[in-house]
Amino acid sequence: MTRCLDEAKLQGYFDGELPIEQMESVTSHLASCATCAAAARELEEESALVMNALAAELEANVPTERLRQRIDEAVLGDRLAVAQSSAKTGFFSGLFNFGTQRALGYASLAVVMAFAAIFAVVKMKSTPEPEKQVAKVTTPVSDNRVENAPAPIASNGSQNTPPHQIKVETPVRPASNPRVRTVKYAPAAEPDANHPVKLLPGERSYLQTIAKLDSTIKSNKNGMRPGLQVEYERNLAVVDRAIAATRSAAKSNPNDSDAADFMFAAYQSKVDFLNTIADARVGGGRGH
Amino acid sequence: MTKKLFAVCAVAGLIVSLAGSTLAHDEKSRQPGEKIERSLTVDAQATITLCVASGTLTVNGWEKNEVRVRSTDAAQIDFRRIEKIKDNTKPASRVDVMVFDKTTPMRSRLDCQALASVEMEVPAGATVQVQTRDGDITIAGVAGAYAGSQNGDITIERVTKLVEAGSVGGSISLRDSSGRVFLNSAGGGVEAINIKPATADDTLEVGTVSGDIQLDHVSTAKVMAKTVNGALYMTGPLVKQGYYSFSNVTGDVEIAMPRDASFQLIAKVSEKHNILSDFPLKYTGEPTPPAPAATPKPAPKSAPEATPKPPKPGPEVAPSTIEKPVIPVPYVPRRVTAICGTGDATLSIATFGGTVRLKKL
Repeated sequence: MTRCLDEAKLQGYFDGELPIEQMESVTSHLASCATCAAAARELEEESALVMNALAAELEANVPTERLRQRIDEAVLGDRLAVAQSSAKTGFFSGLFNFGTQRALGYASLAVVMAFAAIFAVVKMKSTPEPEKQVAKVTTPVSDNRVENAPAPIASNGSQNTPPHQIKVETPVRPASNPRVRTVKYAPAAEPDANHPVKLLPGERSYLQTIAKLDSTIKSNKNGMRPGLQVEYERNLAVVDRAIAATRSAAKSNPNDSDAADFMFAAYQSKVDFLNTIADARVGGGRGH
Repeated sequence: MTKKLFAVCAVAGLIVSLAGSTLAHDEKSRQPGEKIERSLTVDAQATITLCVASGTLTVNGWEKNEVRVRSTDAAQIDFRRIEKIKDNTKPASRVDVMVFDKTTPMRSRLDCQALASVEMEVPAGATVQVQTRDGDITIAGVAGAYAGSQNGDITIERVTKLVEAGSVGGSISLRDSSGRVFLNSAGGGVEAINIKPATADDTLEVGTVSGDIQLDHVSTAKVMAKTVNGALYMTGPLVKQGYYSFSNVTGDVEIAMPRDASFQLIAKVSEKHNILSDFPLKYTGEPTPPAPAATPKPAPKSAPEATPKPPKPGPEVAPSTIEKPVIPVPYVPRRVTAICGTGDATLSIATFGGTVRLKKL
């Protein structure tokens, strides 16, 4: 058992931002460390809470009131700054203070220059470019997500769209506010041709399900009675040991479906067990 | 104004004191240890539910179309008919037995909160649903039984159509019953003895986390037993064309069968553990090549499921018979497919850290 995971690592795990090796080690650790599993659940719940609270704001395409307010403030600030600067710089204000005719003249000049610039660009583009340069641009796009994604640009054949625009379309969330990050898992566990899959398909789904069930059990305000608590902890330890053992075997034999089956069976046992405990805690009543 | 207020208070106080004295009188009128008994005429195939927080529950089927409930701990027992269309001219077909205990009269008005042991007789054709948090459950001689207890043991006998029982820490015992069976205990052991099917589609499913599973003389055609840390034992003849699935992570799997047992064995074991067989086994296939892992059910994006792998044709696949009894079957691969006799039944066994034993009775 290694030491517990820090919050940054957990957050990176949930966001799918860790390297594949670290993803695997974190998953393994979560399966065997109750403390970290609890911390992960807490983090997930917090993120889900914040995401739910901000869902409307994040998903809306129109500017929200807050954003509008910020824009207004910024515009107001600019106006004030302009007013202040114009008050301070009398000479420069005279330079740019021109009449209508002069303005038209400047505008015409600007239009001509713009046309000239466009013509120059088109001329440059029409000249054959060395292939190497395109390859250079494409190379850094070899992100997993991009490779797995379909390539509509190539099929459309629109040459004007530079390859690096693919990257722009990939949703990359800013790391400034970790609380607002989505809990949706990145497709790091998806099969990838370049990297051998170490995080087995479906394993994360089990971890998610287990986390949800565990939070359901923990969310019950009434404390677990001692008898149930003892059985819960004893059997949970049994299942966790089974998961750790089978997972280790599956890891050692990544191409052996039987080893994976054993691991999934152990995970399923944990799901079943947590369901049993959750039902027992709720009480069930008469069931009709 | 003051006089009016005084008069109102006086009247209210009088009412409260009278009510209190009446309740006290009712409570005192019952002698300690006195048994309460209530009866209700019901349909022969009625569904009856009984639910308490703590206490031993005993249910027996009898030949009367009547429910009789008795308790020494309860303060009150009521019947609540829960049919969708109530017709008081007909016997009740769905009844909740409401038990209120006398130690905490106010709280006990909540359903399933009584601390009381209860005995109940129901028609033999009835289905009962019985639940207690702390306490044992015993059910015998009914058509259907649903039983749930957190820490108590569950004992069920002579049920004819359906049994579902679950416990967190207690053991479950089912005997001399027929029909569809589902038994699940986390920490306790589970035994099912002398179980028969009521219909051809009936199955027997048993699961535990750390408890052992014992199946004895089960003639249901489809049997599934799963445990994490327990041992699996089955004794008795196999059903022709029957399917038996046993799986665990740690713990042995031991199947004792008659000498003339005929079965096909599909076993998955760890490399460190053996398959010990008293029966001569003929290999019917070579170890299968590694295949992509099957994605479990809950996985949203499932990979293609592992398809059954047909044995490779060719000279290596020629069946080889193990003549010596009681020897470790060599199994360099972890999957063994073999046949004994004509292979009527199918034994599918998967144990990660246990030994498989096939014994002759």
